[in-house]
Amino acid sequence: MIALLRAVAGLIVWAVAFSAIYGAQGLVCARGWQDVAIGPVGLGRALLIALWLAFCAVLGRMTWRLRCAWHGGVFLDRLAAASAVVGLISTVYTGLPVVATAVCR
Amino acid sequence: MKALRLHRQFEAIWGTPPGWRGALTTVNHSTLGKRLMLTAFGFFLIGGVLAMLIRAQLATPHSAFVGPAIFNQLFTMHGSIMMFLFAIPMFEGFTIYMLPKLLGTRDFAFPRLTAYGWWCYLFGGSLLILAMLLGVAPDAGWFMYTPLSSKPYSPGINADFWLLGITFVEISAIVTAADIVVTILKLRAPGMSLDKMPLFAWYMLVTAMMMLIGFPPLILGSVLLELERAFDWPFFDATRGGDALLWQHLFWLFGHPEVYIIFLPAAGVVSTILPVMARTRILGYGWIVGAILALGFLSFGLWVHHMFAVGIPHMALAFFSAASTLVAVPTGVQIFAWIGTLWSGRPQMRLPMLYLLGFFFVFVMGGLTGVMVAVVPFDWQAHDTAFVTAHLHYVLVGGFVFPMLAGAYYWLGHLIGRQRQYTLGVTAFWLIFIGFNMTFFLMHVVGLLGQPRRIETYPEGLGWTGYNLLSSVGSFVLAFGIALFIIDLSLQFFHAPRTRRNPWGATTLEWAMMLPSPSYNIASIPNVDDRDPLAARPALALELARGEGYLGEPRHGWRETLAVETASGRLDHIVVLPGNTSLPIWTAAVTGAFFVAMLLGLYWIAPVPLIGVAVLGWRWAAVLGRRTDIGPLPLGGGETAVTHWEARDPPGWWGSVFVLLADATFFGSLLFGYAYLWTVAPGWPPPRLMAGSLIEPALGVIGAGLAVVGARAATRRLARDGEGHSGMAGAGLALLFGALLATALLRAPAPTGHAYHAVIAVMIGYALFHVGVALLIQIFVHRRGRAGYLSARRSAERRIATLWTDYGAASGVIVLLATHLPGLVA
Repeated sequence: MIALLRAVAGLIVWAVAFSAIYGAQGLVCARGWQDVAIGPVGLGRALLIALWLAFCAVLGRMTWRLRCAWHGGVFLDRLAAASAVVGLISTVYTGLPVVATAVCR
Repeated sequence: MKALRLHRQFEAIWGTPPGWRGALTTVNHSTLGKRLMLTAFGFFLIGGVLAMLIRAQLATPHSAFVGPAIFNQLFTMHGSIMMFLFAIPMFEGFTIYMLPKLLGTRDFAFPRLTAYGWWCYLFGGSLLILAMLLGVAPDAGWFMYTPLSSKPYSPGINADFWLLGITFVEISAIVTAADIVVTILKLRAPGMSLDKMPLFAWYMLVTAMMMLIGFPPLILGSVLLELERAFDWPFFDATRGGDALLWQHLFWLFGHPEVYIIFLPAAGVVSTILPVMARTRILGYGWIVGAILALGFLSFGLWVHHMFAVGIPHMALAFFSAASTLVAVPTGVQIFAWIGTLWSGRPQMRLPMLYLLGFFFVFVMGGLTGVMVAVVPFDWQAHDTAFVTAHLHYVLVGGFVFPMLAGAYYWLGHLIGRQRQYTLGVTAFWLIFIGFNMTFFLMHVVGLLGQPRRIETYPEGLGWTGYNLLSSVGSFVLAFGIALFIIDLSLQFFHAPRTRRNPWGATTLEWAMMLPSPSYNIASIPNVDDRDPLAARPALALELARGEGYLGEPRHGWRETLAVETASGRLDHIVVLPGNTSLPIWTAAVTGAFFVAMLLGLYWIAPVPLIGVAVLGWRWAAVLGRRTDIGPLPLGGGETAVTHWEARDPPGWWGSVFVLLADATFFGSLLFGYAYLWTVAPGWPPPRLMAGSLIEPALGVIGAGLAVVGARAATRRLARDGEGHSGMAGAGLALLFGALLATALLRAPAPTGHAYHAVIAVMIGYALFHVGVALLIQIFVHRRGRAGYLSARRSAERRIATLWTDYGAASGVIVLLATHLPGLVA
């Protein structure tokens, strides 16, 4: 059972990342943090980018640590490696809007 | 002769007795699966007739066929019936019938629960049809948006029929999902590790997990809306701190995964049939499993794409647009794996293959328009037009109905023992294919020309008239095709010759038995060491029938099957399943009584059936169990194993785990709703927060701590001394219950004043319910111990009680903190 959970760990981290970033975006706009400037970006966007990069880093580390599992013989380990890669790509792609789009409009 | 003797002995144990008594008490998965499929098909035809009425109305401008009030009922019921009463129950029925056979086992993990799910579906579905026959069918769209579905704009009983009837059916879906997950994880043939499982089982594992996580938000939304309609608790009323968008979030949190829940089992059917039609093995088993898992998770990140036009910020639009385009990738991986399989094989154009080709054509087109509407600027043009209607029918009919029809022809011999390909069937396919495309392709065009959805008529002179007329003609062609399909199947049922045991030359285990399948599936259970078990051992069916596998000799009148370790498939223990009983139908009837009482507005009576369900639930558990240890038993092949009563990891424990997972999702959705309203809804913070106190939370934390520690202490004592009592756990739960009750009676404001008050009331009610259930379970297990049903080896019941105690304690503490802290902090 734990092996199954490990096999989808990367996808679970994506789910947490997506929820956290979307939830944080709602909080940022409700609290008006986007209006506080930190250099060229608002506080809100900075927070969102930080969250996004943090999750990308976690998934990057997972992908790196599981890089040998691709060639191993255990099916669930290969799934774990695939899950980490998919989680990483998904987090990068679905979180990318934090960089460029309007936060609260 | 041994095979015949075994067959008679097993039939005597597993069979359904004749007559009414047998029909009402059976828990046999083959019988229940067939009933579900037939009933679901019946609902499909009803939904289809409703579609015909819609198309008859829209064939010409200003048609006098039906007025707007009836038209609203038509499209609401068409959608609701197709989504809730046809699609889900159809694949559930197929899974209930076929999954144990594919896994090489004899029944589901919880046969009585399977029966309960069937009766809940029948009763709940009947409620909706009753509404239609009485002329008060739901009429606010299958997605029931607030505020249209709130009391001021939908004062009649129509919306209540939807909310209560659908919730009743969804209970059936959730318990079936838990049943499916536990069966796939635990009840496989020994040797069938996860990577040797048939692909359909992987598809159903992911689908069932999605159901456990995806359905609770809808149930929560339905509960909240019904509370608003019945008692004026303002969750969705913006004048009192509610938000109509909360409904949309909760609904689509369910609604998007729902369509993948519908698609995945059909894709599983494709993955099963396609390699057989191509006379080769599937290409890319591992890739497909990875794609299914990715799809299962990613599909939960799409829901707001149904809300692109509500006015949310650019960034949020982009999140969901990105996720919606991304999800096409794992879908595409499966498509390419299937194309690769066809390429590497020698496909034969038998009737199932025709429907699979129809699936490819139609579903891929639907997927392409899906990527189109995933792009926000395009969606802003197409939203609420017939373009979206065309898209959703392409993916749902292409992605579910075509594989369903392929499956019907592929497994017909399995179900009825007869099959033959008549030209009538081929004609039916072409009429369905041409009729479908004629009906819905033109809808893309007329949608882009501006025709909205859900309008009962349209004016002349906009250029829509010709398209609508052709669409309606196409719908009749489609209907003729379905009619020919029914005639074809009926002809086969009455006239086709008996089939060989494995007419398609397939390699999966469902073909390793006589056709039609007996009530016990297989007279002995195989040891599996290959993804295609029949490829290496073509005579497996005969070996199993002669009892040469595991459990090849019936004993004690027991219904036995085997449980395995989850990942490796190593043999773990023997499971003795419950037999026929009237508990499921009684429990479903009493559950239904609760929903009917709510529907009729008899709110003061409604708690009585709930108590009835608790009493029946007690009995449900009380009829199981043993008073003595029996140790390991032989199971054939010189091996022995303990029975599930003494196993470390019995199915019952896992069943509680997954039901609690669904429960936790419900709770999580409630907390999400609380946070959402606080952050986004107008009128927050509320004029007065609940006066928080330190007393109730402190008492509650102490109580929760006692409960959790006490439950574990009792389990340890049971393992050590063979006995334990629930004193500490019970006291702790009672204390927690009291703290929650005190909060409700002394602190919480009246729920009708503000959404904040209403949410507090629901949270406290939720926690009270779960602490109460945990307390009841601890009392039950205490009495079981006194009566001799527990021992150091027979400890599962106590460990299950610990699960529910932990959950009650956690939810109680979280609710106490969530209700008291804001007032204390302010």
